[in-house]
Amino acid sequence: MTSNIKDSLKGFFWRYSDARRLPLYQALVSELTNIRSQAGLVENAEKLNSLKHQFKGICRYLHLELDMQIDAMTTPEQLLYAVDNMHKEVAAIEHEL
Amino acid sequence: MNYKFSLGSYVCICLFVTVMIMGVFTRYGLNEFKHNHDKKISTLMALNEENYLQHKLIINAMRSFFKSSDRVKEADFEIFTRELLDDRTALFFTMTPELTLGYISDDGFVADLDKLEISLNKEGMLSGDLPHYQLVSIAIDEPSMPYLFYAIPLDNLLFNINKLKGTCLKYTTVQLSIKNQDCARRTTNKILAFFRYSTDLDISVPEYNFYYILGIESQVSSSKLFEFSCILLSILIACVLISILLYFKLINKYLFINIERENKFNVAMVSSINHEIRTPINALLGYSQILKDMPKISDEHSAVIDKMLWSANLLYSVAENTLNYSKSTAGGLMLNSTPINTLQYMDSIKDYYNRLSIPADKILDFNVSDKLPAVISVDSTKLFQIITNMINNALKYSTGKTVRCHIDICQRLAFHENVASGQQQSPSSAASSLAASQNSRGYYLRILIQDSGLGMSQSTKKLLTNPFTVDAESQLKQVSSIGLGLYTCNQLLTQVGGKLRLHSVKNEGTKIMLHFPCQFDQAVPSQLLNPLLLRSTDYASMRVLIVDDNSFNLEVCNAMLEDKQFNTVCANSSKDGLVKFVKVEPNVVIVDYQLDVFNGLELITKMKFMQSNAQIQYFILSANDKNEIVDSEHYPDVYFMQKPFNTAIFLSCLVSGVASQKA
Repeated sequence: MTSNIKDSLKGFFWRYSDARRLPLYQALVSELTNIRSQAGLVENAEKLNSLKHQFKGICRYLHLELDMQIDAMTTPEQLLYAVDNMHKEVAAIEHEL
Repeated sequence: MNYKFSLGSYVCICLFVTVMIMGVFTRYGLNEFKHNHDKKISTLMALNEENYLQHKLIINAMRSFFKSSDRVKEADFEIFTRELLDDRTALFFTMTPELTLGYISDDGFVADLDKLEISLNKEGMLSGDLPHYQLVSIAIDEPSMPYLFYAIPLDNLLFNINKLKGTCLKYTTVQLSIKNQDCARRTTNKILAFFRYSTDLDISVPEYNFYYILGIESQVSSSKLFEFSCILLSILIACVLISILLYFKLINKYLFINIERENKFNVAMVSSINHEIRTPINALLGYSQILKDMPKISDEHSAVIDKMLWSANLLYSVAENTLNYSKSTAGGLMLNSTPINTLQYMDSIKDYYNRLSIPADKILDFNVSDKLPAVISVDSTKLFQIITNMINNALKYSTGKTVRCHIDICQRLAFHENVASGQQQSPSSAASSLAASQNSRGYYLRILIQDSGLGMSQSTKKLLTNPFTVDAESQLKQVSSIGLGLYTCNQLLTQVGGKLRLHSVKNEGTKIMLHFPCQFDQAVPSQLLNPLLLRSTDYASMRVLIVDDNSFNLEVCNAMLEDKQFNTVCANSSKDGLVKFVKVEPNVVIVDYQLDVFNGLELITKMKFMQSNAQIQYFILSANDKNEIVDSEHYPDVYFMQKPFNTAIFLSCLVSGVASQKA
């Protein structure tokens, strides 16, 4: 699964020119950090759904088939865990871009 | 539905209900028995009353006899008493004022009177006691014999106690206790004794000095008890049978719910596995393509890569088919039509086969009719899947060399009228769809796939309806297949309102005709494929405003559009979007649905109020389906696109919008 995410991330970034990769990478890291910090402050289901929706949108752009896993999340901790994982995977490919 | 079946609780409930029913019936039966006993008591009381009246009549007759005669002679007394008493064993005798015997109704009893004890009370009334007799003292109007006694033998005081059959009667006085014959037949059976009722009646008639206890004991007859037991047993058996039937019914329901749940779980499981499988397949396809595009690849390696691509593609088809098979068996398939640029779409299918390098000994002749409209509304994902599935099947199984595919459009009567209502439609297709539903005619993409092989055997044709048919006669049985493709395509087409027709002739080949539902805007009928294409230079003149509060999504969308030479402007909030909208006067606006202050539709409403250019095209981007967005139906001129942003779909919609404006 981890290698799948890594492959998808690489596949996504390699589609773009060298000049585009860095801004895209920075935007992705910034959004993941943003979702991560907001997930720690979630107070109600509406806010959680909003963050799930944002995360789902990002995953779709990255061609990651995680819709079902995201829909199944019921607690902020689950979302936080998934976002953390994604963040680690994104950080791991930084030197390859 | 939260439904948990517990055998223990079910048995308890059945047992409780059975005991309740049995209890109610037993209580009813026992009440009936008691009621019968009470009826016997009533009869006994009536008989007793009648007996008492008879004695009273006799006494009154004697009193009248003495009253009506000046002087009663002994002979008259004897005749009258004999006539009055008839065959009764009672006795009348009179006493003189000196308390000596006067007259007696039967001289034979004179000896019995030796034991007579007489006393006079304070009121001057005479009373007496005679063993084995009940004495009634009567004052009469006869100076020489003022006292008359009516002596009734104790064993005759009562009515005939053998009159009540089947009932034990006991008569008890201070001196005597008598039972009838039924008391002797009393059973000693303990069970029967439970159904025995006894009552003691304390009878007291002070006027005649009658004091006795009348006991009645009635036993429920064995026949009644048998009848009662039979009914009780029948109820018990009926309750047990009903419980067993209900048990099986509940078990069936429980199993049905479990099967239904397992089915759902299986579909979810297959769906999940499918998603998991497709990611590495995509990677395999991607890496293979990268390898193939490398400059220094030998022909030999290139052939291996082609085979890898072909196999990965087939594997991808199997994954898609499995998912669709699960969805179709669960009835969850639905058309999700979006406008597409027909030429670009058909080119993408051709490209797909160009990239795949089909098997070396096969030729694919792909032909698209030039009568196809430039833009049609169709579920492009399912159409792609069906076309590629059928072509792949033909390439894989046909023994002929050439596979032909011809695509055109036709209008005809609907195959399945009820399916049309479940389809999701794009704004531009609403009019044509309405017209189609009015006359039950609709537009269909007609796809003919033809090969020139040996044709299909009868068993292979059965794959249309049974996905797991094994064709023992097939010459290609060495090719592994579970036949999901043909079956799934047939099911998929049927469920979305299309049709799959198969015609196969031995040694001539197979023809498969697919009708796939589509819509197109009849307002632009003359716009055929080529004239409508926008050139890249047209894109450069278009200003596109992208509004998304997610910087990554914004960046990706911007990158994709810039690659197509669009002139883009980005806004990372709804307020920023409004400011830039006024400033740049865009031709196209793409808005994320979930924004910070307003949602996408609210922002578009505000932009429409402010717009000076009447020809702005609006797009909504959302991770959800269109039908999940509240009020989406109130914005027919807004195009809904699902994330991720897809340039091809965007261009199709853009072309369609431009065509409408030109028309």
